[in-house]
This record gives sequence, C-alpha cells and structure tokens, in this order.
Amino acid sequence: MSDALRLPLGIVGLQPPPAEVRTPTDVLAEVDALLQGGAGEEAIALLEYAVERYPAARSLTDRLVGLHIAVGSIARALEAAWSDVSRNGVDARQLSLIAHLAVQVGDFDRALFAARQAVAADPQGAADQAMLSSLAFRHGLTEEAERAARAAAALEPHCIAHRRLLAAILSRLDRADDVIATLGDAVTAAPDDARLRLELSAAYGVAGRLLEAEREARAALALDPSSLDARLHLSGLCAPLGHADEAIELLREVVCREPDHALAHYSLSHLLWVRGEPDLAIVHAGRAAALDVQGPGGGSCFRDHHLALLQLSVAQPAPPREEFRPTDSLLRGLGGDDCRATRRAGPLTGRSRIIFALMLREMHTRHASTRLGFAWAIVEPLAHLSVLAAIFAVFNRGRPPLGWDWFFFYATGVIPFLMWSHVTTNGFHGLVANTHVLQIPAIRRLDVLVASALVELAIAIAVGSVMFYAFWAVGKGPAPRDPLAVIEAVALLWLFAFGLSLVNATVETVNGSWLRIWPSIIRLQYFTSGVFYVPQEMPEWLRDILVLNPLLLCLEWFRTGFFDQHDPPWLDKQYAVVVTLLVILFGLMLEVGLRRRAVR
Amino acid sequence: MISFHAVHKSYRTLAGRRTILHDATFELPADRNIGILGANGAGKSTLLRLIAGTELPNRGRVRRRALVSFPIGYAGTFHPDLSARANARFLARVYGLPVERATDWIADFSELGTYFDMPVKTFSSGMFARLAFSTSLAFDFDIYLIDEATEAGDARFRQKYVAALRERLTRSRVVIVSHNPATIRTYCDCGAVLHDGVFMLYDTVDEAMVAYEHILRRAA
Repeated sequence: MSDALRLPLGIVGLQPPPAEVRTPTDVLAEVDALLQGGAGEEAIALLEYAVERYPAARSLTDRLVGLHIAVGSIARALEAAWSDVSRNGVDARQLSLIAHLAVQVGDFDRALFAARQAVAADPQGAADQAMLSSLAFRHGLTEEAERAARAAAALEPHCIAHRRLLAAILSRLDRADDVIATLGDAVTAAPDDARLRLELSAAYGVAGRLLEAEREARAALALDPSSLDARLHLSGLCAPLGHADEAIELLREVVCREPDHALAHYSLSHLLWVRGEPDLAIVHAGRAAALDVQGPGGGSCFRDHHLALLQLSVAQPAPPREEFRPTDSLLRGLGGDDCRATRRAGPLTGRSRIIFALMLREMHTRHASTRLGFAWAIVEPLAHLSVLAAIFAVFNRGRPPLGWDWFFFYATGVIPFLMWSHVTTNGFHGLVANTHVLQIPAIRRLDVLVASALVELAIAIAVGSVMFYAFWAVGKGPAPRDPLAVIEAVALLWLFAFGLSLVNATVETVNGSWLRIWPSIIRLQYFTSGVFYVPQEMPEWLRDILVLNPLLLCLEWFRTGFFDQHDPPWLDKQYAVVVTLLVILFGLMLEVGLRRRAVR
Repeated sequence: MISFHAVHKSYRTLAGRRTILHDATFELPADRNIGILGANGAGKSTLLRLIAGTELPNRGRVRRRALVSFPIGYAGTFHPDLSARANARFLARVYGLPVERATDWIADFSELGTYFDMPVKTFSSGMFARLAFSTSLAFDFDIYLIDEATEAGDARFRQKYVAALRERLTRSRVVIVSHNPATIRTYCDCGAVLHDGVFMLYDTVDEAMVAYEHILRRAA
C-alpha cells in the first residue's frame, strides 16, 4: 500500500468518503488500515456498505466473511456467503465454505444442500466429497454417503481419513466384508497405524473371523505397546479363542496401568470367575461397581454383576478350581521333619552350616569365573620364588642362613606370607562378590568374612603341603622337624590376618579408598617381615625394631618348625598372640560399631 | 513376631537426608497378613529389608522371633554367574534343608527345564521370577516378605504360585509391599501405610486404603 493512498484516509477519518471515487481495491486497502488501527467494527461496516455498492466483487465478500469468522460471528459470515452465492452464482469454493459454516451453526439442511452444490460444481474436490458423505450419512442417506465417500477415497487414495469414513458408513450398513476390504486397503496404505489396525481387528471380530481379528489386534499392540484399548480388545478376542489365561494377563496389565478402569475390572472379574478364582473375581467386581457410577445402565450393570457373584459364592462355597488343587503335593512344599531343621539347630551349628555353604560357594565361583582359579594358587608362589632366586642369586653365594637350599628358604617365607596377604585383602572382596548373598537375612557380613578367610586358609594349606612335599621329595628341603610348631604358627598367622581382614573390610566399607593403600603396606611388609632374610643377619638396632612386627614373628615361628638349629631368642610367642587377639578384638569392635554405616 | 523399637532410618541423597522411619516403635502382629502401602520412594522396600534384617537401622532395634524369608521379587540373592541349581543348592545349605531334595523340588516347581543348569544371568525376567518364587516356596518360612512382584511371570505360573502361596498361608504369614490394591486385598487382612517417616498400622485393609488415598490426594 502506498503513502499516497493512506494520506487522505487520515484526513477523512471514520467518515465514508463519496463512494464514486473508490474502487473495490481502495476499499480493501482502507479496511486494512482500519484493522491496523484496531477499528474492527468500522472495517466490517465499511465492507458491508461496499458489498452492496459492488455486488459482483467477490474479493469484498470474501474479506467480509473472513472478518466475520475472525470475530466469531459465524451466522453473519454464513449469511454473507450465502447472499454472495445467490447474487453471483455457484462457486465450489464458496459453497464448501457455506457447508462448513452451516455445520458450525447447526443448520445441517443448508449444509447438505451446499455440499451437494459444491460437489456438483467441482466433482474432483475430495474434501467436498468427504463433507457431503458425512452430511448425507447424518441425514440417513446412506447410498449418497457411500457414493461420496468412495469418490473421496478414489480421489485421494493416500488419505486414511476418507477410508475410515467409508468404513464407518459401511459398518452402519452391516456390510462387514466391505468394511474389512476398505480397512484392509487402508492398512496396506498405512501399515504403522495402530488405531487403524485395531479398527480392522474389530471389523474382523464383527464378521466372526476371530483368528484374523486376533492377528490384527496383536499387530496393533505391537505397534503401540502402551495402548490400553488394544489390550482390552485383544483380551476380548482371547477369551473366545480359548486363551483365557492370556486374556486375564492382558486385563491385569490394563488394571495395573490404570487402576480405575471399571470396564477392565468388570471383564477381569468375569474371566476370573470362569477360571475358578472366585475371591479375586469378587474383588474385581467390587472394584468395578465402586468405580463406575454412571457407566452402562447408570452403574447398575457392574453392581448387579458384583451382587450376583457374591450370591453365587455364598451358594457355592468352593467353586471348582481346575488345575491346581491345594492337595497337589507340589504345593505343599517339601514337608517332612528334616525340613524344619533350620529352627531346631542351635545358633552355632546354624552359623557353621552357613559358613560352610559360603565356602563351597566361594570355591565354586572361583572355579566358575576363571579356569586358572586354582592353578593360580600354585603359580603365584612359584613366581615369587623365581623372582627372589633371580635377584638374590647375585648376592647370596654359599649356603642360606637356614637349611641348605635357597629356594626352600625363600619358600618358608613366601608361602605363609602370601597366605597372610590374601586373607587380609580377600575379606572385603568377598563382601563385594557376595552382595547378593547379603540380601538373605540368615547371612551376616561376618559369615562372609570368616568363610573367605577359611577358603584362603584351605588353599594355602593345600598349596603349602604340595610344595613342601615336593621339596622334600627331591631332597631340596627337610621334612618339618616340629609339625606342631608349624601348625601353631599357621594358626596364629591366620588369626592375625583374619583380624586385619576384619579391620580392612570395615574401614573400606566406610571409606572406599583404604584398599588402595593397603597393598603398599603389604609390599612394605615384604621387606620388614623376613621373607628372604632372618633377623640375625640384621644389625642389632634394626633387629630390635623388626621383631616388633607380629608378621615377622609368625614367619620365624613357622621356620622353627622346619629348621633344627633355628631357635631365635627374640621369638616372643606371648607378644605375638596378644597382639593378634587385640587386632581381632579391634576388628570386631569396628565391625559392630560401623556396620550400620555399611551400604549394602 | 517382629517388633521395631525406636527405629530410625535415613539415607543421605543428593537432595539432602531422606528419612524413611523416624524413631518408630511398633509391632507387626504375628497372626495377621500385612499389606504395606506407600508412595513411590517412601521407602517400602527399605522397610522390607529392615524387617528382613539385611539392612540395619541408624538407631534403634528390630527384633524378630520368626524365620523371615529373603525379600521375594527383589533381584538380589542370586549369583548371576552360577546356575539356578547351584544357587538353589546354596540356599538349601544355608537354611539347612536336605540339599538334593530341595533342589529337585525347586527344579520341578519352577519348570525351567534345561535352563535350571544355566547361569542365572542368561535368564529372562520371567524365568528369573519363576526361580525366585519357586525357591522362596521351597523353604518353610514363618513370614514371607514379598516386594511388589506377584504380578511377575506368565499367567499359568502365577496361578500355580498363588495357589501354593495360599496353601502356605495356612501356617505362615506374609508381609507385602505393593502399589496394587488388588494384590493386597487378595492376601492381606490388615494394612499399613508408610509415609514421611511414619509407619501407621490399620486394623483392616480398607482403612489403610482410605488413609493411603488421602495421602496421595493431599500430595497431588
């Protein structure tokens, strides 16, 4: 719009200027200006005036109708459009607009008339055909409706809505086969429309073709797994097909997702009753009756069903329960006196039984997770021995401090040392690996710690026996001179390690970085515990410090069992035992005090 | 009988401390089947673990004078790398049952067929549910703790399981936590609501339902 046109408008204001000087184009421009100024009423008044002045100008009428619709006065829009048609003759676009407007104001006769005229003016308009079809259908003119719907579907084969309309008309005419054909075409055109498949399934169901109906319903459910309607529908099909269990399952899912679905409760109740579960059936019937206040029959249908079931259940106290009678021996559990052993056994036998079960399981899982599980138990000490031998071969010429073979001397240090280090760390790893087990109320953290320490002990005894026997067999080492001392030393070493494992497991559970520090302590102990030396080789000041280490004392004790001449004066057995007991006590106190903070 | 004495349980979460039980003292009646209702995150499962004793309270004491089952329906308790059979044997040993007989019974009831000798981690959720429920039924617990899960498994197995549990309820009791009112109505004769750190026991399921719905409405 140019400024030249706008300028006089500003001067003229709201007063309509002499009509002779304005063309329809001028009027439209003026209307735009008025609308920009917010003067809608004036714009409409101006247009009405102009329409009378230039009755043949459709653009003016269009603008007027548009403005009427925009301000919400549909009736006036309809009148304007109608008078335009009567003045200027038939126009398909105008007629279809009239039909729409007439539907909106509720004047269906005029809508039908307009739709017919529109289709007659332009038979290629699919939307008009569809409009005509639904209007004719509304008037009960089914033949005309069908013809128009078919025309619409033929004009726009990809449009699902037209086919749906046709199917709705056909199903009203009870022409099930035609409905199936129509919806089948639509499904082929849009295979991913779950809604459509459900409608097709319903059509099959009406036609009595249940298997096909089931297939389509399943397809619909697969396309839209959250659909409650699909579940309800499929459950209705499953029951007559003999899949009552599945029908119940589906309805249960519906009820789970929407606990207030009265119809689902009602259907579920029916199925459960037939299935021989009267208690559940009554529960669901009651729920349906309570939920559905204004359902079919004002809620009385569901309520009647509920009452009927209650009466029946009183009349037949034990309705047939087909497959699973309580007499079925399977349901009884194990029975027998030996199965009550759990409660009779005292606390100690109960604990030892649990610990034994845990040990078996730990052996099993080690074996299951790595094939090398037990082989590693032998390989590890051998690797240590080889490394030690390789390093000290350079320095240590001649005889070792004890015995006559370096390998054997190292073995008396390495094997007990490795047991000690395994027990101290594996307690916590056992807790982690047995997180599942700790969900069983009968099992405590302490059971798992004891069991894993015992497994380590058993493995160490097996490995140690094999290795020391092998040394003796090839003449590289002596048989134990004092087996009792060996056993005592191993027992004390194990107790000391177990105490440390208690401490470690508890501290690690509370503070998750402790087990990253502990391996460095183990490595330090490798040097301070006399694995590859005896304290008498050390200077006196250093020896006085080293013999405070209970681990070194345990290794020394262990060696006294093998070597005659070895009877060190600094082996304070009492001190070692007291320290061990204190460590265990400390570990137990930590466990009791901190286990509440342990996250399971 | 299970009694809670001044039990306090709370968790540290990112959004601050969440209290599940606030110094609660109550007793679960020994002769009733109890259904516990609670909104999501109220701590129902934690309460079940407190009852079982697999979780310890921050303060206070939980006493049990009954053999309590492991929480059924909870995914724990089974070692994923071991076969169903090995897991069943382990549980039989822990509870002091004749190992072979118990294992055979579980194999029969679960109807897992050859899968019974496969590692549990290869199971589908339905198979897992069968194993868990069958195992729990093999042992004569005084109190069965069930966590929301009676709807698991296929329909036929569930029916069998329900029948077996019904039979068991002639001499044992059950504590169920669930969202599903139908489940609770089916098994329980009294109800309880856990909300905001407070545990309220009601004489009937209906009263508990009303209280629970009231809480839900107030929250919404």
